[in-house]
Amino acid sequence: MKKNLLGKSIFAVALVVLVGWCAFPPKEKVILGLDLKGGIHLVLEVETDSALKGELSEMKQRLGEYLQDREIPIESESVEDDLSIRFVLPTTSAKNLAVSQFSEESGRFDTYTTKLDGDKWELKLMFKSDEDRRLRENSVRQALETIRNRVDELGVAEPTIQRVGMTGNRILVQLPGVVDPQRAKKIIGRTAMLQLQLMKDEAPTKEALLDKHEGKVPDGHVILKMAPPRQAENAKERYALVEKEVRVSGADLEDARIGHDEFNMPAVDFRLSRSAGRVFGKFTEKHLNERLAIVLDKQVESAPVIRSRITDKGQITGNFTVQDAEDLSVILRAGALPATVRYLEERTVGPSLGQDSIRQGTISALIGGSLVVLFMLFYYRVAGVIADMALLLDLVLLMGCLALSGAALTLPGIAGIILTLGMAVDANVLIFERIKEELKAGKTTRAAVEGGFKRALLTIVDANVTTLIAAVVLFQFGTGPIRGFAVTLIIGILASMFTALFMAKLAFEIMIQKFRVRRLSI
Amino acid sequence: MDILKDTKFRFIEGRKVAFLCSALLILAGIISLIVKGGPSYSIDFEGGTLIQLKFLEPVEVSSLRDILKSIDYGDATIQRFGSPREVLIRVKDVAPKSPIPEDSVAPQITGAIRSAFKEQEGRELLIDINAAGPKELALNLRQLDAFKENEEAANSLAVAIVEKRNSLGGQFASMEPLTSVPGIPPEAVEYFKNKAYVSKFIVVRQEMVGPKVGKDLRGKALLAIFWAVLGILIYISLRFRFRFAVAAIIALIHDVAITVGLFSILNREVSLTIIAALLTIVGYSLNDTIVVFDRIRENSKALRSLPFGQQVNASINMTLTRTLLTSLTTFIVVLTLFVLGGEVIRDFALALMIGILVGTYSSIFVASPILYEWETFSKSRKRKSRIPSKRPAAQTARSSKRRK
Repeated sequence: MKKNLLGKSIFAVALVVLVGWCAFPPKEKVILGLDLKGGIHLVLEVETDSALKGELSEMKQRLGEYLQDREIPIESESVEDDLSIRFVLPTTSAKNLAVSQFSEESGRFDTYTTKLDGDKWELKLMFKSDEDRRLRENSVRQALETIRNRVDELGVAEPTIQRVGMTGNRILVQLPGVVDPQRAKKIIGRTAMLQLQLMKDEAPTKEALLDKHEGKVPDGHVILKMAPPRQAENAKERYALVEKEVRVSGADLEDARIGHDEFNMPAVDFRLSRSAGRVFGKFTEKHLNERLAIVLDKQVESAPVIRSRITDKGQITGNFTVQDAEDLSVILRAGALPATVRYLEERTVGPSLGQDSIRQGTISALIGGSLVVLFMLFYYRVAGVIADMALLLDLVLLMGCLALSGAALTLPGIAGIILTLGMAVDANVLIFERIKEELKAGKTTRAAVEGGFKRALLTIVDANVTTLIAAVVLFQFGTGPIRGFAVTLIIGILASMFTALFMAKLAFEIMIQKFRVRRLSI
Repeated sequence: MDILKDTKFRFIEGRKVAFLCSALLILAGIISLIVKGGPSYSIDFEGGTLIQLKFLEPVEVSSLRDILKSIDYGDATIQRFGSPREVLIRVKDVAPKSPIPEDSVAPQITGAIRSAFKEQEGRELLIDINAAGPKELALNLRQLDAFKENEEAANSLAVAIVEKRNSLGGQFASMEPLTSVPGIPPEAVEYFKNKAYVSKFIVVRQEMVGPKVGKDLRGKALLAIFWAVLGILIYISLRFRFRFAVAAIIALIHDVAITVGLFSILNREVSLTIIAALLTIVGYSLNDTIVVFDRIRENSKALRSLPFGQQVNASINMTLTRTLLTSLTTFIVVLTLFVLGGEVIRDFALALMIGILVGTYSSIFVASPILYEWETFSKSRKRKSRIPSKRPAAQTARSSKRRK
C-alpha cells in the first residue's frame, strides 16, 4: 500500500498537468460554439421533388419529340404533380406504337395505360422506385456539393456543411463569424439556374402578350416574368415571350466575375467553355439584331439585342449593387443547385451577444464556485480542503477533456460547467458523511476512512449512472447548444467520480500514512 | 461540523400530508396548463420568428407595437429583454406577408423599424458602422490612401474596430470611440464620420424555425424523455428491485410535472434548453432518490428487526445531511447562474432551481413513501393469501430472501 502511494501520486499529478495543459490557455484551446462565437446556423431542405420534376420535363420533351418523329399523334402531354409524365393518345394503335417505342425506357420507368372515353388512351410514365431514390439521392448530394462550393467561394473559416436528419434531404450549414443572414441565405439557397434563350416579344401584362399572339402561347415558347428595370421607383411588372429552347445554360460557364456595364454600373461578366462558345457563336450569327433573354431562375434578368457574333463572353446586367453582382458571380462560379431548397431553420447570433454570455457565464462560475468552496471549508474544515481541491481538479479535467474531445463549448455548456461545480461535491459529501458515521461507530481513523470510501462507492456509482443515462440521452437528442450541455454534464460527472474516488482517497491516504494524522477534521 | 445530528424525523408518518401537497401542486399546474391550452412553447417547438434588438436608448414597447401593426404583424409578442434598451419580438409567421420570395420575416420587421426610426433617410450610400462586418470595413478602409496598397493593415484595423465595438456591447453610440481604436489613423476616423452613420439599434439575435422542424423536435423531445426514463427504469430494476425503480420513476415524473406546471403558471416558455433542464432534473432527482434507496436496501439487512416504515425513516434520516448539503451547493450555483448568468440562460436556471427544490423534496417525501405503500400493500396481500395456502414458512423465507 505504501509503495503504491508514490506511484499513485505521480500518476495523479501527471494526469492533471497533462490534461490541464491541453486546455491552457483556454481561449485558444477550447472551441466555442456558434452561440458564443456568433454566426449563422441554417437548416435547409432540398426539395427533391423539384429535381425530379426537372428530370421528368426533360424526359417528356424527349419522348414527345420521339413520338412526333415517328408520326405518332399525341393529343396532350404534361408533367403531373404526382411525378409522372402523362400522354393522351387519340387511338389504340397510337397507344400501342407509343408503348412499344417507350420499351427502351422500361429500365427507368413503369408504364401505366388507362382507357379513356372513345378510343383515347392515357399513358403514364413514372420513375421506378429505385430510379426515384437514386435521383433524389443524387440531387441532395449535388446540392451539398454546390453549397460547399459556394461557401468556399465566400471564404468562411471553419464552416460546417453536412447532411442531417432521418429523411436525408436536410442540410445543415454553420457559418461562424458571418453576421448577415440575408446575404448568406441568398447565396446558399438561390437555385441560380442560368439560361440564355431567344426572346420574341414583351408586354406589360400576360394578357396583353397573349392578345398579340391570338390568345395563346405559340408552340415552343413560354411566358416569363421580367426583372424590374434599374432605378425604377414605380416599376411595373413586364412579361416576355421567350423561346423554350435553351441555347446556353449555367453548366456551360467557365468563369463569372464582377464587372461593369456601359453605364459603369456593377454587372457580371461570364465566359463560356470552348465547346459551348462554338455553338453560341453560330447561334448569335444566325440571330443578329434579335433579343437574347438572359434568364436566371425563370426570370428574365436582361434582354440585350445581339449586335454581333458572340463566342465566349457575355455580361449579365440588371438592377445590381456591387454586393449583388459579387454574390451572383460567386453563385454562378459555384454552379446551380439541382433542386430548389427551402429554409427550415435559421439562427443568427451576433458576436456581441456571445461575448456577453461568456462574460456573464464566467462571472457566475467564479462566484458560484467560490461560494461552494467556502461552504465546504466552513462545513468540513480540513476535509473541506480536500473536497475543494477535488473540485478544482474537476474543473481542470473538465476543461481539458472538453479541449481534447473537440466538442464545442456552448452557452448551455457553460451552464453545465456551473452545475457540475455544484453537483461535483456530492460524491465527497457522501464519502465524508460515511466516514463520520464510521468514526461515530468507534472505528479508528484509518478504518473509518477505508470503510467510508468502500461503503460510499456503490452509492456514488449508482447515483451517477442514472444521471449519466439522462445526459447520454440528451446528447443523442440535442443539436448544437444542447449537445454542448450534455457533453459538459457527462464529462463533469465522470470527472467528479474520478476525483472523489481516486484523488480524494489519495489525499486521505497521504494524510494518514505519511503525516500520521490521528484525528480527522471532518 | 454537524448541522443535523442524529435526526429522528418521522417522514413516513407524514406521507399523507406530503401526498396532498404534491397533488395540489400538480393539480395547480394541470389547471394552468388546461386554462392556457397546453404549455407555451418557444419557437423551437412551435415554429416562428424571433428577433432580439438592442437599442442605443431605452425604447417603448408600445411604439414598436404600432410599427409592427402598420405592416400587419399586430399579433407579434414584444417584450423587454433584460434591460429597457433590449426587446424580444416574436411572431408566429415564418413566411413574409409580402410576396418577395427571398425575403423572410425578420428583415421585413427590422426594415420597418428602421424606416420608422428614419434610419435610412438620405443614407442609402452610407455604411452602418454598427452592422458592418470586418470585410465591409476593410473594403472601405482600402478607399483611403494609407491602406490602398496595404490590404493586411486594412484587415487588421477592421478587426480592431469590430473588437472595439464588441467590447462596447456591440454598438457604437457615436463615432467618438473610434478614435480610441488602437492604431487607427485620423483620416480613417474622418472617413467614417463622413461616410458612415450610427444605427439606433442592432440585431443581436435572429431565429426562424419552420413549423415542420418544430413539430419534429417536439416529438424528439418526448422520445428523449421516454428513452431516459426507460433506461433508468432498467438500470434501477437491475441494481435494486423493480418496485424501487417504479417508485423512483413516479418521483421523477412528479418533479417534471411540477416544473412544467410552474413554468405554465409563471408564463415561461418551454424551449429546447428547458427540455435539457428537465432531463437534468430527471438525472438529479434520481441521484437523490437513489442515495436514499441505497440506504434503505442496506438497512433492510442491518435493521431487519425493525418494521419497514422505521427502516425507511432511519434511512432518510441517515442520508438527510448529505441530501441537504448537495442540494444546497447545487442550488447555490444555479442561483448564481439565475442572478448573474444573463437573460438568455435565466429560464434554464429557473427550471433547474425549481427542479432541485422539488427533486430534493420528492426523494424524501414521495419516492420513499411510495415504496413504503407498495411494501405494506404487497405484505397485506401476502398475509391474505397466506391463510389458504398454509405455507407460511416458505413464504417468509422467500420474501426475506428477495429483500436482499
